[in-house]
Amino acid sequence: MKEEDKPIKTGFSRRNFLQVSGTGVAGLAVAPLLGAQAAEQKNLERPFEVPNAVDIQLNINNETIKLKIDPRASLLDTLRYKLNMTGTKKGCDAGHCGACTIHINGERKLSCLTLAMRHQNDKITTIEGLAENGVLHPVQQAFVDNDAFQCGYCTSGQVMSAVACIKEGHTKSTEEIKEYMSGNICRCGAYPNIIKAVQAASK
Amino acid sequence: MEQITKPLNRVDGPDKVSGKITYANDVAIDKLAFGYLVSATIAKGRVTSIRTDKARSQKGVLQVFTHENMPKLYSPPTYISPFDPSGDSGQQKHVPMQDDKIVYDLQYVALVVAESFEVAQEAGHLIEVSYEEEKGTYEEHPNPKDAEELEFLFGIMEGDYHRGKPEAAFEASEVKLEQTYTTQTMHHQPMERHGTTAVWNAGRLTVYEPTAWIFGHRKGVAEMLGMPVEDVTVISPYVGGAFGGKGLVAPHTGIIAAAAKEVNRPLRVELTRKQLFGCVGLRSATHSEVKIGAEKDGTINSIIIHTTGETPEFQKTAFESSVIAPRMMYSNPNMRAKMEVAPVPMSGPVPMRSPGEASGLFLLESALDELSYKLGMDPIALRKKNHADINLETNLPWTSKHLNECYDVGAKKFGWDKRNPKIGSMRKDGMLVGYGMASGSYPTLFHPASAKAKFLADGTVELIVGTQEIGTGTNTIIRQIAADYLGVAIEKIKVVMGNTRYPKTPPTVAAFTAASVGTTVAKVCEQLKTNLIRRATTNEASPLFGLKAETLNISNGTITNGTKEESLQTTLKRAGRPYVETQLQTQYSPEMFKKSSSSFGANFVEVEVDPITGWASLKRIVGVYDCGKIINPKTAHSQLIGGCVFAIGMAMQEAAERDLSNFRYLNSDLGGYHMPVQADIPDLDLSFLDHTDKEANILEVKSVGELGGVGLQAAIMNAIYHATGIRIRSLPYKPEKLLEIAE
Amino acid sequence: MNFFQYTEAKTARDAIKAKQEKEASYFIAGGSNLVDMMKEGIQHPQQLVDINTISGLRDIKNTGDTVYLGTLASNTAAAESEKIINFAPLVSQSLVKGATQQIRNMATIGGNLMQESRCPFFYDVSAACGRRTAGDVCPTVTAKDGIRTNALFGLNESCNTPHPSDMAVGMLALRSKVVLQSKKDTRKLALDKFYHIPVKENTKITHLQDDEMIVGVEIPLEHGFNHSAYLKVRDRKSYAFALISGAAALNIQTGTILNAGLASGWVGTIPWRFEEAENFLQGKAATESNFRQAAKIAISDAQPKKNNAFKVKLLEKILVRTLLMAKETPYGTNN
Repeated sequence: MKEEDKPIKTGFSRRNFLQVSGTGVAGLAVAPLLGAQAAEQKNLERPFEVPNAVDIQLNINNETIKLKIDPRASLLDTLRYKLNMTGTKKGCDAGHCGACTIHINGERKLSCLTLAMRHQNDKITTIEGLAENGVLHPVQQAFVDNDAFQCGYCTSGQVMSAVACIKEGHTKSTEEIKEYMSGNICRCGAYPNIIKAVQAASK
Repeated sequence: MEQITKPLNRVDGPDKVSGKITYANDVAIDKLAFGYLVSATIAKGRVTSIRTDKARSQKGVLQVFTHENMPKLYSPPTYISPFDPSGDSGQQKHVPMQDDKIVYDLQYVALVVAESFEVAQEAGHLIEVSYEEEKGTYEEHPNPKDAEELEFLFGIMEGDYHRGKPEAAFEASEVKLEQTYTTQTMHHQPMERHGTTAVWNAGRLTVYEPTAWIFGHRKGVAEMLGMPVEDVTVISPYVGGAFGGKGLVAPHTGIIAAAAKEVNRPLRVELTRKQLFGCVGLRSATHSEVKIGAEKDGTINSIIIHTTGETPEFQKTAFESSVIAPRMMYSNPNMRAKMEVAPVPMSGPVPMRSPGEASGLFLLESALDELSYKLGMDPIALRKKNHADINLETNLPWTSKHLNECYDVGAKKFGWDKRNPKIGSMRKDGMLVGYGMASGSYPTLFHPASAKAKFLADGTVELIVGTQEIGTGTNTIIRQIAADYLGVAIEKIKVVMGNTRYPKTPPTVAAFTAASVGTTVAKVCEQLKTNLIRRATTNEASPLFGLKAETLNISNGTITNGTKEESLQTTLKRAGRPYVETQLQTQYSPEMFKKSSSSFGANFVEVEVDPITGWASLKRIVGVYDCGKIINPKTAHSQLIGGCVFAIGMAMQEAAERDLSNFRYLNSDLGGYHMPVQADIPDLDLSFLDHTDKEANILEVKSVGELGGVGLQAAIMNAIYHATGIRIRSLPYKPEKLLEIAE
Repeated sequence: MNFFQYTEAKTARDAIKAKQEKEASYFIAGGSNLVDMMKEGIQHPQQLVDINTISGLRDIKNTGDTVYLGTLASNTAAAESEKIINFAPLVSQSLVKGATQQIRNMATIGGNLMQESRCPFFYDVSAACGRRTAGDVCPTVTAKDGIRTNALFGLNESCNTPHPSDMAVGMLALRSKVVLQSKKDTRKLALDKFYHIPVKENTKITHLQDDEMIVGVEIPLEHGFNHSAYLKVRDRKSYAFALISGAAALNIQTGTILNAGLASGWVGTIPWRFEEAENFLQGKAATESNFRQAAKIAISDAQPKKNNAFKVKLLEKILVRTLLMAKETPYGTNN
């Protein structure tokens, strides 16, 4: 499909919505939501807009998305609250933990520390955009095989960092990988396995 | 047994690496409102005025709550006992925003509810609060002079334990050691912040909350709101880290639920990272005075420990129970272990990974190391000399104990024989090298749980348990257990968890999930198996009709005795049912109290210290652990490394820093509170001994999750002492603590 | 965060003009410091002037006499630039010890130089702070026994928290100059003249004028430095600000030091250079004994209080170790 023919999304991902309405993921059934009308609606309505809302366009995972946002919104909050792309996590909202790591023009950056509206000319890649046709990216597969996560909350950021770390060429030694992956905190302590995963995927 | 002991990849792995797991605060809800809690900027005193007009004027603000208009909330009961986890579940008696008093730093003073996060956050910043601060003088560690009696210690009313004649035995000893050890306040800081999404419908409440105890949360929230437990549902299938926290219900859940009801909108409030320092529990700082009396041959006669832990001024509780683990570690016939608490303006503490063992084995294993040098005795030999053949606290034999083998195997892997006992005698590339070791131990507890097993017409099995996945791999090992105990292919097994509508289980704490939920799953599967076999043998149309049940087994989804067989799907179809399910609840049994069950481990550490700057680096760690049968070596090993990383944090770099003029935090963010990063972690060689424990439980497992890292803090400081001659008795290490290094 | 106006500048002149036209206007480049402060309610810009859109400010050049870093070059681009690694490696050595790769990808050279305080009182809007409100004082000034992290040099009545930048310290040791452009002129200021000790009258610590913008940094090559090292001692091994850092650059010819650059981070209220120690080393043999003497000179005018007294001895030791490391790390080797 030509770039101009690709549909422009105007808002909200159905992904999370499906999870709420009861279809399971990975063998886990989620209980039906009590009290909300979500099951009957196709879109999540957020009719409220701030007085100074701005119209912007973002290129995320090769899709162009038009949306109206609060100009103060960080890229992270835009992904999570506006677009329901909750794969990117908010750990601290202050640039201290790396959980919100995404790629902007192929470089790893912290989405909590930047305003969404400044990225209209950038190519943004999130964790949701790594797998191709349902096949895990080699780094993702290496994480699974090496048990490079436990609770999984830092994992999106770790994977995005790892993909970039390998591309940057910062995998010449265990010490180098450790240093260049130190920007992603893992409280569960999966660190040694993360190193193994990066080593495996960088071969 | 095919699946148990296999190092399977986690069942939720592919989703976790793809960002597809829905955590509590990811759940998409229609018409969701967003909230922002505002925290106090004093630690003690009261609010004299609170102005919300600027906040309210922001477009999109729905309501602003303060103590002036907050609905009434009740105190949740806080008598927490590991022996009755269906009971009380409140982190603290104090509920913020019910009056004008401030009793700890970062206590909530206001809640903004708005249409968006940005609006709520900015409105929060615009709230103007005036305080009357109550000054005090505070110290870096709890002071025994301020000590008061504990209300209770983990439900065991023995803050003061003794056996034999500890004081007399100490006085009569040939060799005496008297030292003081301290640990500092620590915070769980899971990567996923706490937060509540509260949804009301016709007077019933659903709470999405990352919690390590959905049933405890349900009870605690219901109590705070003054409503029937049955009208509350808590959903938390995946939790982004708990580490002993997120288990006791914190006041924010009640506040957010009450606010949601008032504004009549589903409401999500995520705590700020800063609020995770003040408001959701922590590991209390401790100050311990230790006396050890021994003979010249290394026999320890008496150990006396007096610990003072920090505690809130409004409730005298502490979970960092340093005095419990040392009671059972060694064979000293005389012992006193007393714990008291010193009140300071802090919020309710909660258990934090290896609560009590962390500080208790730091002090004990450091003291033993000091004793070994005083005696001129190898540290391992000293431990072996005082090996506890039975648990002297309970006077019960162990279900199994292979601690000596842990020392031997660990010493060999580590190369302990290369150790030159002379302080500062080992060098590498100009750096000082130090070797240190320490024992570790953690109890294997059991608590009643219930589970449901359901066989469906399509040949799949649902294992339904109301437990929660905090990252330990529970949903993966449940599948393995079910596959083996039921005889169904693992691919056909689906684990359903994390909702209080499911069968009740205890919290995911204290490393007892495998022993509790795991054994319950095994038993309910056996029960389902019996049920299904009976359906076949009592059905005339079945080829298995009339056969004795004991002669039959289920293998790969088929009931068989080797010659005759029938698939479970056929049995079900023949029975004319869409599914067969059965539920089982396990109980305590008298058998369980006849023996003592603990896991054991030995930690070995190599450190390097720059002789010029005194900066210490960990070089490698070897740990060998006795944990019985290992259901999934991959996930169990991950628990070990997680525990070690945690202990490294406690030993080398983590501590709350407070302004001692007002007891307010100085480092309440992840930039100032230094959890370990990749570069802090040396090579970790951690392994299990290959021994099962048939006496512990039907699964032959002992506890894993909290053992890793227990004792490691001492091993590290012991190694630093070996390299430098400087004994660090006050955690954490800081570069200036080795400033006096001899060059 | 408050609402703000936003404008993109095409040239430095436009940027300065836009900034001057509205009160409380801030340049935004990488934004990793500013956006954080805006979210915390510490800074309240009424206008953001985006300078990322100005072309020509990202270049990294070797002019023969200097290595030049355009102000918008990312920290990563500078740290990994062949020109920097070969001709001014101390900039790279100090840069890579700061923050993380993600943040270095976002942060710019100018932003790094201008980064604000990391002090807890600065970040606590309920606390008095002389860097947020001119004239206010906080415990870094008033605490009788001082604070563990307090500066040892450049003490004053307004703010005694140390300057947080690593890169500035490395640049300082190399005797770098900041290039400043106003609407009319360009001027250069040596880095140790660019910063000034905090004062009561305002919240600034640089001589950047209201009508000026940083456009680049010039690192002179005339001093012939051929060895350098950066040592950052901190409370964990990465992703943390320094407890104390040391930056050393040496021009060693046949065992004799012809020229020395010595600076330290997290000991001064601004990045701190030890000129007296540098002068001492000039002409001396590059031995441990001389390094120790230089370190002693460096700490001689430190002003410790009880709670940060340890820093004096620690600084001394760190400077010795840094000089030894520099001696072992000639230009062109991997560090």
